Amino acid sequence: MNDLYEITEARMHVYNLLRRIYAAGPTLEFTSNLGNAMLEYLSDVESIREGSRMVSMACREVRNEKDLDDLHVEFARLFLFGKMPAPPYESVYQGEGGCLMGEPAIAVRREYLKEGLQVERLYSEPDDHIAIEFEFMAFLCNKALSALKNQDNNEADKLMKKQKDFMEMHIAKWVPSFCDSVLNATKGRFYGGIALFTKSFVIEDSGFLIELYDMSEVKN
Amino acid sequence: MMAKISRRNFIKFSSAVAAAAALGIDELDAFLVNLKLQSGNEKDVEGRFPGYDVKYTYDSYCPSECGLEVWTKGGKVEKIYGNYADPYNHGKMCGKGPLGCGLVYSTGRILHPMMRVGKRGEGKFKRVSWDEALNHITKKIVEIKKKYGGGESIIVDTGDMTDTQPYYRMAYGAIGSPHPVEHGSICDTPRRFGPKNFINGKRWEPDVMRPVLVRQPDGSLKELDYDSDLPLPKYIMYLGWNPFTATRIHWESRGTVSAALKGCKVIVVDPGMCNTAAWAANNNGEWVPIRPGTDNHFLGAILRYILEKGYEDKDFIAKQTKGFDEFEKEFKSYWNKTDSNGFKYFSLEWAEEKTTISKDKIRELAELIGKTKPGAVVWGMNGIGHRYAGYIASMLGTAINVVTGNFEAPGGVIDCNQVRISKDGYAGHFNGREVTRTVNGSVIKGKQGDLHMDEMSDWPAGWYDVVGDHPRRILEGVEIKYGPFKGYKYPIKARIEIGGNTVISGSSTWKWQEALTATDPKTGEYLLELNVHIDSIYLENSLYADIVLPAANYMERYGIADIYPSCAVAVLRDQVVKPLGEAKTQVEIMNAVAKALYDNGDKDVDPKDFWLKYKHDDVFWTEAIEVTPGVKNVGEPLPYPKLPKGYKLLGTPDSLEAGRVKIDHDKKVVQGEPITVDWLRKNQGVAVWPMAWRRYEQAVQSKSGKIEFVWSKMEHENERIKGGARPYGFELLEKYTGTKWDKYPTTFFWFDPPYNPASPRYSEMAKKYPLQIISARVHQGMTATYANPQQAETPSDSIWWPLNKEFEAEVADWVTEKNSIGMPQGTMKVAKKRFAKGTHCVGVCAVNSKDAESYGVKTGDVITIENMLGKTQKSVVLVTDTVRPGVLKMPFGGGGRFSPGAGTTYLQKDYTANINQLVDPNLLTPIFGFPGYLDILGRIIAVERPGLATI
Repeated sequence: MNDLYEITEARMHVYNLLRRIYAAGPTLEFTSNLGNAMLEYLSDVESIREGSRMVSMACREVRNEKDLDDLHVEFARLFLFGKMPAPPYESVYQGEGGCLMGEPAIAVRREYLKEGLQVERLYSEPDDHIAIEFEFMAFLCNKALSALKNQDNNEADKLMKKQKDFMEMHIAKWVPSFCDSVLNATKGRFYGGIALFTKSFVIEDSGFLIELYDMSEVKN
Repeated sequence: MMAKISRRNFIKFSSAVAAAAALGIDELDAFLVNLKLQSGNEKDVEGRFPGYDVKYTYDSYCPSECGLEVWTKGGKVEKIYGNYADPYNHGKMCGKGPLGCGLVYSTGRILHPMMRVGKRGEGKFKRVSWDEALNHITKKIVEIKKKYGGGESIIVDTGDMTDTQPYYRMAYGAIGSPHPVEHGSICDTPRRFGPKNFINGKRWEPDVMRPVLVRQPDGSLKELDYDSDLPLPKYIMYLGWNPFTATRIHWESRGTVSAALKGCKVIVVDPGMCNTAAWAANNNGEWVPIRPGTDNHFLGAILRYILEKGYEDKDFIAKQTKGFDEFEKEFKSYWNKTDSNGFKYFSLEWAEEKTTISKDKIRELAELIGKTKPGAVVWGMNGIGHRYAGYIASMLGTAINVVTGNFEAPGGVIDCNQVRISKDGYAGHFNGREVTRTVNGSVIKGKQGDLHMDEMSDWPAGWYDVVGDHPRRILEGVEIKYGPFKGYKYPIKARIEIGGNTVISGSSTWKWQEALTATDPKTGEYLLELNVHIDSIYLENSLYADIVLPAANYMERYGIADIYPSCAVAVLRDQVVKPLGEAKTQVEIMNAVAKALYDNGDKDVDPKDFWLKYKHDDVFWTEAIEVTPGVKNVGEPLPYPKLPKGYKLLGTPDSLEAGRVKIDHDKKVVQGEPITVDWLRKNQGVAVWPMAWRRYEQAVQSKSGKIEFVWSKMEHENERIKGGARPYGFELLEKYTGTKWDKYPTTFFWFDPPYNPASPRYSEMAKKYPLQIISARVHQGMTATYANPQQAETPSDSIWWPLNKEFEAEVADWVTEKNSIGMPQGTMKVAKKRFAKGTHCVGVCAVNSKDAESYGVKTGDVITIENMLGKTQKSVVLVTDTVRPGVLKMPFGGGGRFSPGAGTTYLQKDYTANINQLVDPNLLTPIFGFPGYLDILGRIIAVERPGLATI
């Protein structure tokens, strides 16, 4: 498989991993596997490597249920409960009034529908939760991988463009600010590392997709 | 192509297997969790975004419950308007209503079940599933019931929401607790004393609600507004009631203004110049700055004056009342007694010395009230409702309205509880279940209700339950003192609170904290073994919970409004949008708890009483309004001249109007087509029945059918306690006032208020603690800054003022950005903002300029206040003459907030006061056990000068 396939596969895994991390607190098994998986990610970007290292080290410190509870408490404090310091919803950063279910939630709902997808608990689960937006990106990556496997380059191009558009219109606009909120609010390595990793990854991925699109236009 | 991309190495992995293992999945594409595949294609997209949908509900931002018309799109609230069809607010809203999206979509919402990690009060939680949360709660309840006897050890506090019937059913029927309670217990029960005993009523308000539907001479119904000929009061006297700010009854705001435009004199009797007082003083009315806690003395003098002058309406008294002679005799028995001030009781001079209102002014007002009809004397929540001796003012206010013949007169006074709709759903019949308990070695049978912790124990006349005494009960337990289970003891082991925040509002905060964290010295376990909080926002009560459950917010749940109109009006709360996150409606929670109890082996639960019957909220609420409107066809003009007079009316307005009814002459009931949730939905959420006046057969629900000056309800309680234990409240009365009761008073009574300089018992204490500490409500200044911090831009009532320290917070603010074509465009965005000092309202302590001078205090200083028990609070100061000398006034709930969920108010906790930290937790009123919130003496013991004033 070519470079594009490899990098798209890696990106899909990252989005899927981040989706899992931001959706709920971790399990013991997950932290154990995550610690190892983070070491498997290679990058020429120092901040991505730094984020991976932090997460990996934090995972090694989770040995029992009590350590896990600490992570769950931190997850709840940051993202779930009581005027959360880092609300993981695009509407808070991009919408009017800093509330949930703003225009961005409706906008991403449209994007999901164009791909035949809809939030499982429509109207109850804000469509623009970071986990869902990442899940969508992972979905698009997966579809692109299928197209590349079938050597359908036109379809692959379209899907890469969709990713670029979704990145530009949504993810890149708010996720870095969200990550900054997390970094300001947490002293822990786990979510601090995740935030650093996420921010750097999103910035790099955004740049990658723009370059890729520019290249394909040049190519065409 | 890839070779030319500079970022091609920003992410790779060396092992796909490891990456997948981290996710716990084998297949790389089995990852769609939150998104599901739909059928359809791109053409379907816009079809899934229809235009606006309109639903009707009522507000919950404050207790006024104004009717709302809500426009939604794509499953979210887009626009909020007032519901014109609801005569309660008639399409109008104050500034709070349209801010509802801030509540519904706040990032401060509780969206998932949470379980405590660490100690109560630390605020550390982790997310759990509903199943896990319910299992934890119900296993514990089953264990408690087995270990300690039964459901009586569990309190269900249904809080301050008014559509709470499902929780009553949950308490009585599933948990088997005989004492679900509600917010009214700590709202204003002393205020209700007069209406309750005179007519079995509740709240007396001026007849100023318009529009009302009135039967015309030609038989038609016409909606009449303020411009009609309907009489309005010629005077309204508000004692400790501030309808313009602390809105509870929306139509009083516009009605008071409309009445004043037609010549009504509005007199506001209040230690502070509240908004209503300020307005009245500038609109032909006046502010009368009374000494706190002396409304009793004031009203007593007015009543004496009226009777001495013979201004009472003898005809009305003869026709509509019973026992007036005895009441008058008892009242007059004081007239020749001399008080410690050397004056005769209830004389003008006596009242002048107590209230510091000149006797000329008292005489002038007594002349006005005695000789003017129609008119209304109205007393409020904080002022009288929150006072230990508030019963007396309530009794006297009621008496004055009755002896002047203004009760139910057009333009007079209406008991808005008696003439509003009936609704049910409370499932009180479960309290009749037979239970057995072992008492002193014998097995005794009785009913579930016979185990009530107040009525059958320390508070036999605690008709509204005694939430203020819950901390003591958690610490000491309950002993049953009346009825078949007399001698039986049980502990309080669990508390489930819904939508309330008793840690802040349920009497003394520190006492609640002590009770909720008290441990058994032998085991180290919490005495209260289970504490559950069900709410939509994270406040102080959540901090002490073991489990927090997400409740559907007001736009997401169902109900029937608890408003107080002047005639029968039913208003639907419809589900406008689906509950956010994992929040559930009241019926869903009721069913979920009942089912979990059942699954955990609780034999008290019958599925047919819960989830098998109430498969949807509509079923529950339609059943609740089978008894609606439930008022009698009485009054002038007769609401339905074609239907039998005096019969109870049930059914929709249109069916009653058209005569599509069945009449039961035995039961004296007219049954129209039943009103349902669906009918309300089709009629803009509202049903309105005709207004009438002089509805004595409806309004007066005393045992005798007359307005009672000798109270059969109190006589009944005296029968119950005859030969039995002395009610706990009598001990407190003796301790705090020196008055000894061996039975409940059945007609006029008197005692001096505690912690009051006007009372000789406290004159020495008042020398050391010369300041009376009172509170008032500012609805936008309590908790709502968590959702709408812009509400902190509006100062109010001298107790919510821009005297903040500099701070940073993430808030929504207006920003101007360039749009896609480079044009500036304004929008609200969240950003971290720095608030300079003096730019954001906080709860302040209003201090009169004379007191400020004597203490050397200026606006912007931070004072330390010490109360008569040595407890302290800090508060930033506003020096103002809108509060009388000798008084410190602070907002209720507007300061000292220690839950991060309380928004920007939380950020000011170190220099704003929680007045309830200064309340004496043992000061509970003698009959209803209500906390003495406003009976506080204090002094200023320290002054810091951070210089927070900017002007």
